[in-house]
Amino acid sequence: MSEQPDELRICPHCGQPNAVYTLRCIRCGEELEELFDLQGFEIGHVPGSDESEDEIASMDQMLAALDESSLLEDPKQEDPDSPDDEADEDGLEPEVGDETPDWLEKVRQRAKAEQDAADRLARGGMAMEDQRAERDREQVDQAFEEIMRRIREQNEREKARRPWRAESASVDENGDPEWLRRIRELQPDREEDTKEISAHSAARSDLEDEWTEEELQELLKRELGQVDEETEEEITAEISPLRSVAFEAEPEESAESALLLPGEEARAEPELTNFHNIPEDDEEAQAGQPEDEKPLIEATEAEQPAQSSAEKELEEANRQNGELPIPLEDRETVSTQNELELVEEAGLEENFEQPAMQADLQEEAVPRDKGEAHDQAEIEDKSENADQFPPENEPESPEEPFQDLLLLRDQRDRARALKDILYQEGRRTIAVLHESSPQGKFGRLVLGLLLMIGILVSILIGPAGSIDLPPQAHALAFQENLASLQPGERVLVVMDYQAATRHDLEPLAARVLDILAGNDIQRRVVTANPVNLLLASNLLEPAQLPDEFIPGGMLGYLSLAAASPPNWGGLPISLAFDGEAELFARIDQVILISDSADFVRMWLEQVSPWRAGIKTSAITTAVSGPMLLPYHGSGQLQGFVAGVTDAKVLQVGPQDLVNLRAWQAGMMLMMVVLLLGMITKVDQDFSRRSEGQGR
Amino acid sequence: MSSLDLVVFFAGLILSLMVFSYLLGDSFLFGIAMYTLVGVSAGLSALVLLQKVILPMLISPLGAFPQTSSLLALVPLVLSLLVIWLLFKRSSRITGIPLGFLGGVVTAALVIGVSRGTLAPQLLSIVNAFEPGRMTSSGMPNWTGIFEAFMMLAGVLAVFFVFHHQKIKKKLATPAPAWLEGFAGVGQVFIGVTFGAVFVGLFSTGLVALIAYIQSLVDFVGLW
Amino acid sequence: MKPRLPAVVAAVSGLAMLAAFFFQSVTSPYLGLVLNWAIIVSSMALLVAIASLAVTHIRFIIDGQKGFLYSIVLLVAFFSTLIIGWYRGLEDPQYLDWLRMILVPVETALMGLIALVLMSAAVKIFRVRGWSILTVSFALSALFFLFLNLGFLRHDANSTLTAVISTLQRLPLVGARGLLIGVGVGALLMALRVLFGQEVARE
Repeated sequence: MSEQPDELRICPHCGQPNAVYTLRCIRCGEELEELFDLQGFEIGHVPGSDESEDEIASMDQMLAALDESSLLEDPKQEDPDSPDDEADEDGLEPEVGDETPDWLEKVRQRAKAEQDAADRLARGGMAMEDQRAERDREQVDQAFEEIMRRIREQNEREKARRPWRAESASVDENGDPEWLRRIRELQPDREEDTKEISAHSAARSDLEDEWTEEELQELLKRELGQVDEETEEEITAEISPLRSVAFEAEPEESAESALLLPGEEARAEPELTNFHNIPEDDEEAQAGQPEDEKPLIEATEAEQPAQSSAEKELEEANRQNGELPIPLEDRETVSTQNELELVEEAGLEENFEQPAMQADLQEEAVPRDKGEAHDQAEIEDKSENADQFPPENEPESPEEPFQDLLLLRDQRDRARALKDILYQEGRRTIAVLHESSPQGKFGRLVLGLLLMIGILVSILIGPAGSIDLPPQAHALAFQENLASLQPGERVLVVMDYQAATRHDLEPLAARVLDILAGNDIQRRVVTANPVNLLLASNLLEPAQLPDEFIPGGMLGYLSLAAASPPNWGGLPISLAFDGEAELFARIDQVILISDSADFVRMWLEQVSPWRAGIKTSAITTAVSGPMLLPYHGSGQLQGFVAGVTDAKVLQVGPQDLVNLRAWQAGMMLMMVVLLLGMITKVDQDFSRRSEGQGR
Repeated sequence: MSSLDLVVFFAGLILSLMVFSYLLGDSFLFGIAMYTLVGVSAGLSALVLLQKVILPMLISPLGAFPQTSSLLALVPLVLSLLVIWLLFKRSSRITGIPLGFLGGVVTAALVIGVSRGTLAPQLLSIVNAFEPGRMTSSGMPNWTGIFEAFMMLAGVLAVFFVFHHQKIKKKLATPAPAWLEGFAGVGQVFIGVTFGAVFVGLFSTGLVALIAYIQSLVDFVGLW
Repeated sequence: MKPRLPAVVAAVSGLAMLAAFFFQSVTSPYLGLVLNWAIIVSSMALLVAIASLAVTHIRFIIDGQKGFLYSIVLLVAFFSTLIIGWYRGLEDPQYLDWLRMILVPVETALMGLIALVLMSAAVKIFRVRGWSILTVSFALSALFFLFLNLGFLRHDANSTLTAVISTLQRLPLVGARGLLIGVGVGALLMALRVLFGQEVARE
């Protein structure tokens, strides 16, 4: 490519200004000579090199003048190869019969020697240049071949991997691919230009596709990773028209047709800044990579608008030279060389049977940019739109997302991870700890039915029965404590149990209240539990409520136990009392009716220490019994009865208790089930051990 | 029994039968029964709190303004309003004041109660078991008493070591000493015995309730 | 400051109450006053919790969330209990009968269900927990007490047997005492942390 952008060539025949790269005059059609100007080597007629021509002409004229001048005749002939000619020159004798003076002869000889030397030098220089150029061209050839080989391999790989990808690069009736058609639909102006260019396209000569020395140098540097970013786009744009054309290395040929005029190139460059939006970390990661492996993003950016304008320029060149336009597919295929490297590096598989689609996406991206920063997400969005193009039988594989996107490896991995996460949303990905199996539910049902049937049979068949259980110390102590009450003493009965446990408690509590009533012992029934307002009628007279409802639960009991009425009036809690506000006034004993060991414990912790003189005993359920043993052992609890097992101590009649035969049946069934669990575990361990030994 | 009573009675019966549908799995019927239970319990609690606590203890004293008791009632009134504010704005700073006050009071009561009501008596009980009067009977050693005293001390210490051993096991990379492991094992025995007794007691209570329920069903069917 | 204020208030009020408890003979009326305030505030907090429950379920119904039918059932039961009880009075016998007819069978059935569930748990306990000192001692203790509750042993025939049985029946006392002391010590330490501002410092 010429380094003198604004330079035009004047036709020597008709004087018509022509483009630098043209081979024939656009007016007269004659061949334009001396297309190439090689830097540092100027022979013959070179445009713009008049100065050198003048110099040569002046040199010739001067030599001719010197030849004709008699004054400059040198009598002696000097040997230019001999450095000692000076001595010889001094000793030279003038030739006999020659009228030219010696010094003229010397000058002539010297001029001739110099001319010979110059010729020799020129020839040598030419040879050296030839060799260098040839060497460079060979290198460039090799690099070019390497590039083409890579492209072919990538193509083949893509074809092998994605045979099902439908070719969307369908060509319409005019021979234009679909992507081009879409571009034209988007940009009708450019379409007109393109058509003009294509209308004037003519056959191109081979020379049009040849490379200039500068271009080859650039390509070589690029291959070696020393390319300047600004010139990358030039080279990539240059690659495409050369693909289908045989390469001929003629160093003196002029620059081939530029796909992009320098002016266009300069205009395109500002539009391409921030074309990609690759994060800095990716760019930094790329910094550590060999340059030839780096994705040539900038080249990719540059070539996209360059492509469209390159297309225009190419068509114009074709029009000028009368050659057929290079197929756009080839151009874009080669121009996607950078993309291929990027894809290779990212490990994505692109379908090169659909270069049109990809270029289509790029081309679509280009007009939308309009010089603005190109968001990578936008590219991905467009590529996701491109996902609609593939056929329906495309397997939805979370392992290979975003196939049409130009993503780096890191980005691809992150995209894949995000897609995996989204794919798993709403699905259980970890094992549930305690997932109940149908087999477990069936077993529970069987056992439940078994127990219920056993109870039912026990209820229906035979009397209720009675059990002679050994009395326990705490029950005996309770009974003794109850018996120690004297007539006229006051007992505070505190209710705090739920409806679920009433069958376990109420027979015992009712018996105790009967004993109290029978011994003429006054009782005061209080509760802090709202449910006991309903249940009190089971113990007391029908529809009778507890004497007091204590607000605040244990705080209320504590307030009544620890505090004394102030002198400014009463405490708020006294306003909640219907009767006597002093709860513990003249109380001798407290009997707690509670299904919770915690309630009894809290009473013993909070209330009893403030009313140390009041004995405390409890009626509780069988489940609370073991936890109240320490309090009985320490003397805090005078005694307690727990469930139907202690009913005999209070001489509770069997008619007041549940069917004890059914109770016995239930106990026996639980024993069997417990033993069964142990036996199955032993059997399981045994079978597992034997399996292990068998292996 | 009026018709309304009959309706409510059958509603309760059907709801109780729905509870046993749990044997077939956590079903819709079981959910209906549970939510009904929760609703009724919550309604009863709210009614009792309003009528038995808030109205007499908070609202009524305000009517005796400007007596001391009514002035003092302003404090719980303000605190209660701050608690109500919790309904509307949970993250407000001022709603922490009444809850902090409540927490402080309960904490103080807990300190006094635990130390006086559980720790001191229980520890004294262990120590008092070694009282000479208990360890001898008519001048002769009361071996049962002695055995029980030592067993009690060793057992309680062993139970302590179970907790301590579990804590140490998590921290240390190397296994604990053998004597510690053995002592913790003894503690586990005692804990297992206690849990076994509690398990039987719980089953007994449940069994009694089940028997009573089935009995009531049989009686109901017998009535019909 | 925001999360610290409740902890500071708790520490200050707790220390004041502690002093009041220690000097109860002098501070008894004020102790009672503060405890009454605590009763009112705790009752109000419980009411707010119940109201929050109702509001939550109302929101479930409005939003049409999954299970909103359960919310409807709960709210119907709640408001009918509250309104009818407010209208008729808490001491109304018929109202209490209605509540009894609903609550007692359901709670009794629930307790009976516990017995059924415990049976299925007894089968699985060794399969799940395996063989260990705890599980073996648990099983043996349960078997002993179950057998004892059957009433097949004639305890009064042999005094030695009676003594042995009595001793074995008191065996849970050792474990229960150890557990109580351990839990008590833990609760005490936690309470002291709150009272002396350790929780404030932690925040």
